[in-house]
Amino acid sequence: MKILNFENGQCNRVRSYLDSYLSNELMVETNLEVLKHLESCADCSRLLDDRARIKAQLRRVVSNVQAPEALQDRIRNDLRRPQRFNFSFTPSWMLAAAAVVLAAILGVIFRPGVKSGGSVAQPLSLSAEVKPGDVAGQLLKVGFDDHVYCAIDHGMANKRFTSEALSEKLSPKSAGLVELTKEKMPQGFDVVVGHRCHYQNREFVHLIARRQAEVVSLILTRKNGAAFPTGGVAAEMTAAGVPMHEASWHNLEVAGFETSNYLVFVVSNEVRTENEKIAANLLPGVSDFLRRIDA
Amino acid sequence: MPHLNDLFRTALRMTGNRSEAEDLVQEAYLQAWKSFHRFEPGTNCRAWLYKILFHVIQHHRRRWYNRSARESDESVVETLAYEPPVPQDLRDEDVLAAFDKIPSHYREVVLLADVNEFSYKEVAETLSMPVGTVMSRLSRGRKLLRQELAGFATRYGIKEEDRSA
Repeated sequence: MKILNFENGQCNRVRSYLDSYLSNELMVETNLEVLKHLESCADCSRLLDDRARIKAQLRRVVSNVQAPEALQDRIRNDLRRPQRFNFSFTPSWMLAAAAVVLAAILGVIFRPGVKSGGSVAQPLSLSAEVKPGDVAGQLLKVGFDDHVYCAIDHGMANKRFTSEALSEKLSPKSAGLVELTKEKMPQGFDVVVGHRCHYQNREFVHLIARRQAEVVSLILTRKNGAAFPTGGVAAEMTAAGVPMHEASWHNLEVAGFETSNYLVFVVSNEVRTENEKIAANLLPGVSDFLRRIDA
Repeated sequence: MPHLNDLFRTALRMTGNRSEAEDLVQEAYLQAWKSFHRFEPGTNCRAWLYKILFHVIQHHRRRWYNRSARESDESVVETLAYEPPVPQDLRDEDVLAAFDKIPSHYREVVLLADVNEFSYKEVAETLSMPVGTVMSRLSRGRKLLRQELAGFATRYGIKEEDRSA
């Protein structure tokens, strides 16, 4: 039979603390008292070891299970199905808040308020509607879709590549873009991801820069015969002599321009003026870069 | 979806049924989406999702709740009664089986505190109960698990004898 320190009630007292000790919920002083007792009491030590072992094994075996992949798709489809929700009388600030929460649920935390007051059209469905005949809109959607698919849906915006991974995932030709982007982005932004991705039969070079909750994608793809319309576009502006096209869907801003062989997009959760500024800043360097690699 | 696996595992251990767990998690995400106006930006999104999940679980609970296993008395007096040793090499499936036997109102606290590593305060908020109740249920839940597992000592022991015979 075990002999316990019943006389001074020390074992009794320490054992009443063991659960909180295991949960790391004791005050510093009590923690010390428990530690001190454990040093000299093999029985209490054994109890603690048993409990810690069971806790660790339980955690491990429960965590072995993975959610089925189909469940993620089911939930995404559920959340995106606009007809399930009736927001027809919801003020625009609530829609903006909703977009923030949806983004948080889907894994990307946007800075709340970044877009407050901005036009938030149909934030419930990430598949943006573009009017037939809106050629610029159709093209801007190419960049927008890749950002949503890659940075948001696949959580790339939450990744942080090492510089080795960056150069490994980009072709040697496009690796120089990282430095260029770092240099031209506003202060505090860091290029966290750079890789090549495929979406809807197009190949993209995709860089993601972040400054806390601000997420900016720089997306490049070969024209493959596509071109922005010349003139007649209301949202068109000119930066460094190149027409820039803009659109906003679902709390995200897209700016796009073209070089002789490429389409270039800047997609972000910034307000329009800021997104525009970032795109205009990147434009000359990126155009130059693209000219050089094709030369 | 970074919390999806954790929520699914939690739901699975609460129901013991994969398809039911899937439905609960899906429902929880939908609820989260619908009640976004109650989410305060800057607060813990993970804890908020768990709170909604357990709310959904409570709604569906009657379908699998084992009332016979429920103990009405929360104030379990912990004694220094001899604790039988728990075998060193427990099989994973035995740990799961033992855990699933614990009444659900203890299991949920152990899941949140020991598996998902929420603090007492977070568990209390998630399950809408006082911190004191969290502490007593966690302590009791762990003890019930140990007792279940100690039962395996005998079974494992018998196997040892069989092998040497």
